[in-house]
Amino acid sequence: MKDYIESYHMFFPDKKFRFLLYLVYPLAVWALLYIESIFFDGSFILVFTAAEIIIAVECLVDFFIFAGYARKVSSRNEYLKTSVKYTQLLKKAVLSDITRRILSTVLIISVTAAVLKVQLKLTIYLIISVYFFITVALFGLRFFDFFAAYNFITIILVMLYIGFNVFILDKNIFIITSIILFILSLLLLLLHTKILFRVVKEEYYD
Amino acid sequence: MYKSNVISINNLSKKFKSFELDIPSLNIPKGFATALIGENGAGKSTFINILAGVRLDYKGTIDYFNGEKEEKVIRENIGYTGPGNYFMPHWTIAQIAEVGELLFERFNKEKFYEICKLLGIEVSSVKKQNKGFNKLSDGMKMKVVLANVFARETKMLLLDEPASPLDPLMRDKLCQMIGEYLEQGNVENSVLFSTHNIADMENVTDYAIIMEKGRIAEQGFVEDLKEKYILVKGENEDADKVKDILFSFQKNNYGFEGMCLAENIDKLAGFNISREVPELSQISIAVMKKYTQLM
Repeated sequence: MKDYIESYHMFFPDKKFRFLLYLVYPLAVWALLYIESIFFDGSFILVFTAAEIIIAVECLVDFFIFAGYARKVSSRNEYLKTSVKYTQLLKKAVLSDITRRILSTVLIISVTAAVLKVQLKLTIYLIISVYFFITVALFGLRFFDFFAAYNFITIILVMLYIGFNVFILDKNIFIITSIILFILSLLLLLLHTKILFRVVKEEYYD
Repeated sequence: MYKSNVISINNLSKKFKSFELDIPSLNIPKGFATALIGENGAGKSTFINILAGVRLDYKGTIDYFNGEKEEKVIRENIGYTGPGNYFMPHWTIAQIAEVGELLFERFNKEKFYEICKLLGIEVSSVKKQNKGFNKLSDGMKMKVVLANVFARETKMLLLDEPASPLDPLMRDKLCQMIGEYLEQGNVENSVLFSTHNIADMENVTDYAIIMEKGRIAEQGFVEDLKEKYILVKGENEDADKVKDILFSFQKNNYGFEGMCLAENIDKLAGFNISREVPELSQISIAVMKKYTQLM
């Protein structure tokens, strides 16, 4: 467990980033929702706001961890490449990243949903749909290593997510959508991880 | 004389656009400091990258540590420093120490900080500043890279242009560190370093490999090379007569200067010339010039 976390932290910009990601981020989301609840009178709609914030934050956070990792750059990470443990450590880091995203999403949405007394099926739908949208975003984002691309794609994605939710709410098809998105998330995650490690392998070649 | 090789190479080749690295056979002696000398673009970095395992797109065979086959053992025993994107740009010195422990089994964090201090890096102030690696000066970057590689227990160091960003005092320190590393290893440790300016590192060099346009132009123990080549100086009146006998030739205001192969020195009998033992840097330049003319 410890080496998984250490491997993950290897890709973090600094120690402050850990503090921001693990503590400030969830607390800031809840603080923002609390302020918003004053105007919306604690409506269940706030849980959707939480979902949108999570997608935006998770996409932008990735810029500081794995930006550009899906694109082949032969000349980077020479030091890491000289160790036989590099691929193994990267695997641990990627796995820790997936786990952290799941935990963050589950924690923030379920606590918010519990406070707002949101239905269980809607809560589960939100957790799965948020994770699906994050997975879709990272699939494309990691080909870029400049912040403007991350910003642009994140904005588009959050807008798409809002539209998607309006459609699902209108049709009231939470359960079936959750199942489909869950399967798609798994497939995308597998495909993305495969691409990532293929690129890392290719970086040893011109 | 040396008894065994730390690295043996057979038919090594690599093509990249118009460049071609082609080394039919090469042995790097164990227990010595080997200098890889060549001008920019000679293929030194490509060659070292291949040996360090950073590049795998080559043909041919490389035998490490007398037939060691296990990749893990080979990589653990090789310390590599490169001038490019070595560490992640945001890594601080403290992070570099932490990552070193994660990546290599025999990385010593305390030794890393000790060497940093020895190289004049104010670790405590750098820690406080929390500076990323990319924000350090070139000289400072190389010092951190060297501290990192010397903090590991290895059998071979592959140092790509380690002296280039360092000031003369630090170059001297580096030579001293290489000497100590070889001494501590008791003939088991070896060093291969590349340079395009051998003069600063000459006092630590035992064996030299001179590269030109992806090929080995000359190699041998420094003492042997100094016997093979003789530096000759003479008057201008003899210049045209001795020109063809010499391996390399250069005219100046006072006369001429050139490198003569020891086997041809008798042919200079009767001419008014002075003989000197050349420096390795002079041999290197003569070989590089000659090879460039042939290509």
